[in-house]
Amino acid sequence: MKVQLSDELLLSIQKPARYIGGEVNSIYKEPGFYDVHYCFCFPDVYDVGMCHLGLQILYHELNKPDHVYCERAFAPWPDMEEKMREQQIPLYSLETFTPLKEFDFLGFTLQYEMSYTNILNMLDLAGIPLFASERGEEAPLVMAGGPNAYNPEPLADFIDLFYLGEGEVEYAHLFELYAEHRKNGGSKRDFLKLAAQVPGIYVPSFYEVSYDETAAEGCEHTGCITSFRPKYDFAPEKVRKVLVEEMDTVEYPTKPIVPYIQIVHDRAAMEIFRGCLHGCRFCQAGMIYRPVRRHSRQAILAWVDEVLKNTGYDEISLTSLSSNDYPELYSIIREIHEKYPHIHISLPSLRVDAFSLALMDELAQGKKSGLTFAAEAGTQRLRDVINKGITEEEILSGVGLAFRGGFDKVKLYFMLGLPTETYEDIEGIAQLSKKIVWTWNALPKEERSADVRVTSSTSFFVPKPFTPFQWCAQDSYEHFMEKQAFLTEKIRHKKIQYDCHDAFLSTLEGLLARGDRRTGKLIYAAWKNGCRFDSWSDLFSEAAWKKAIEESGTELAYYNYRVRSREEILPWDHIDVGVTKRFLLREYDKAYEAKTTAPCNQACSGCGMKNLSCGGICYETKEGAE
Amino acid sequence: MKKILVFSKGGRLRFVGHLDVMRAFQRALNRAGIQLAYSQGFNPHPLMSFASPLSLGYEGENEIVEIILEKEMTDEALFDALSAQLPEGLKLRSVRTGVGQKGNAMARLAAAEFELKSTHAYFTEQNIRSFFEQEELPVEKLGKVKGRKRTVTVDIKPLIYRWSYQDGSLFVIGAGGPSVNFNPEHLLASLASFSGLDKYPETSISRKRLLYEKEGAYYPLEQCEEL
Repeated sequence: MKVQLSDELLLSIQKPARYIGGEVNSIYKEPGFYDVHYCFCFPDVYDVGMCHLGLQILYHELNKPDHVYCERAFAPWPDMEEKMREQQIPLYSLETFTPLKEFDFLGFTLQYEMSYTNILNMLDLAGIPLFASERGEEAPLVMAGGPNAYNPEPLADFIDLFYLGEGEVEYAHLFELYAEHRKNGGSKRDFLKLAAQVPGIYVPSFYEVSYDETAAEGCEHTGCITSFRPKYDFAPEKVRKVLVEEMDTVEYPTKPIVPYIQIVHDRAAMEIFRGCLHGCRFCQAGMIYRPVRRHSRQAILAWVDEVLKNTGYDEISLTSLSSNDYPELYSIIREIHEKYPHIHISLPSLRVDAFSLALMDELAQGKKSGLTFAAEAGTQRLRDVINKGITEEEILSGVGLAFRGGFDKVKLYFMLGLPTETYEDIEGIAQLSKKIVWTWNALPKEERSADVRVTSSTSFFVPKPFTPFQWCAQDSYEHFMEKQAFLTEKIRHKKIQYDCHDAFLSTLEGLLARGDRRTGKLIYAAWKNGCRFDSWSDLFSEAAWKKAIEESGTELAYYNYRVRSREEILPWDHIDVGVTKRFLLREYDKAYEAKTTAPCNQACSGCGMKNLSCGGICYETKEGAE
Repeated sequence: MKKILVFSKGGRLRFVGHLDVMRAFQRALNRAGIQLAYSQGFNPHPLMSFASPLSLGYEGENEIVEIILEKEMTDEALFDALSAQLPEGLKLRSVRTGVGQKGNAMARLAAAEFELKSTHAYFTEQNIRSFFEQEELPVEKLGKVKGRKRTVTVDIKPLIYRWSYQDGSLFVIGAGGPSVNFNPEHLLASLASFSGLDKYPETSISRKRLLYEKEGAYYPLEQCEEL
């Protein structure tokens, strides 16, 4: 039964084009010709979800074989949700307006912790039972993947199966298995047994966890995990992530869907490489996306030609975690720019030096944008602790060049609450910001831009799974507030704007990032209290979340404020991302001695990736750490 | 080289706003490999101008956009290449070559014809005829009185040049142009209030054509020789 929306409804809400589909390059397949019906669900509003590169990659990939049809769904904005509930309109897919509950699979992408309540809300709007244990044959199988899936436990109650790793690898196989199984009259529940044996697939219901009855140190009633093991022998003890080994063997989507409405990033994007070599210790992406794998120069240039022809976009973006590390970057950009002078090329994650400045100048076409530095910490000592290899000298000489070149806006990113942080480090943030203004001041008037605006932004450190800091205690909410107040005073300057993140939100992220199976109760309570779109400041409800923490008996003392012991079973220990615990512990120790680790292309530090892949940057060097 | 394009907008595209439609056209032209000329100056933009924005929710049967091409091209070639790239909901109806190097349809716009249709009780022929017999057709709208936002009552009768009723549809030709604009939703609001309703029930609005004025009579804007 297809959903029908009246004109009246569509004209009574903001941005009705979010809900109508029909965009250029969206795919329509006739019913009766496909065996597997999958809906990609992005747990945020259309305008945000459509910027997600992973969506375009998966949509393209999954729709390649004729027998699979992948559609899309997003979280309806509260005004639309209200109308849908009023008029009992179930959540539907954008391509064919099919209610989500009629699909074979729903696939949620886990991009950030604060999107979890939206997942529950979307299931509820779809009329699907939230708890996996309550779903029968008539409900779709609910999958989840993406970076946060590496700690799947907080969502274990709600998800039937997790896909760990890169989407190009096992989906085709999984769906072939499903189609075959269903053709032979197999049930959806039985399919999970088959799925558990596919590489990268984790079925939480096949595992059981037990907890210590004695509360952990400093806690009232929450005990550590005493065991985590599969209930059946067809479920693997450890689930290893799947990854693409040769980047050019996967076809990059050249026909991305082009939305009608203006979305956050209105352009075609391609990753030039996956992974990162720097090994910054706070960064989960740097650990879970290893090893570095590049797309070839030809592949990138061919993509640009194809994608412009198929979309008509006037802006493209070449993305990666650290673009300077792509060897021929500048010559590729110049070639694209010469061929397409009217196309704007966006290059996020670019380190600032003389070369990149010259390049940015060429590309700017008259408009001077701002420069961004992710310094992360205010002193060299703390930067060494977190292994962020950027020096004050680099930053100051970079801005000096930039100001001489006419740039007048500088943005700096920092974190408060990093391990071993002292007030001296925090003051360092203020000092560094001011030094940038002084650098500008020191230049003769004719050589510099007319004015200078420095924006320093701090977020609060959240320890993440699979990083060397996964054992650290997160700083308390009270400390966050004190530190923020301290910095606000120290950084006061008319040319400097200081932005900071919401401390309570960071505390919640801390809870959810390193949560375990018991955390599901918290997420459910939050949703029941009306929490939605938690990453939107005007919709985030601190009160509702605080109530949920209380109602679910979740102890911040256990999840956030405790230093975990090295022997402890972590909730994500049964997941293998390639990087070993031994390596992470080595890095953890080095951090506390403020010792740095070289990037992968200079020296191998034996992170464990060599065991997993047969390609990537690991093999470009002869040295090794073990 | 200037081209005048006439297109229709309907179906799902009714819910895509004017700025987004402009972007969709631009992208379709890019996909078709049709290079537009760019403006000079610090912030060059492609030369494309729409005669009149169409409000969200309206259907448009003969909308007009003028474009300046970088290279010459026949009307047929442009029609075929662009039609192949336009999304469902936007349909090219005709292409002709114009004069000059900039769009002036907006300046020549004098009126527009609308078709309004509803199955609700307030839309009977009898009710509509009685409505138009009034001396004035008042509508309340937000305006600025002495710099402050106030609800003012405005008479829209002078903005209506002609109307007729046929087979459940109300056809209205209203003033359109740079200084004064007939808004069909105001007409419906006035009719609703005349019929004792708070707001007008579901009514479809379609802009049938744009018109220019010559010696007291109105003609389709795309045929204006000055374009």
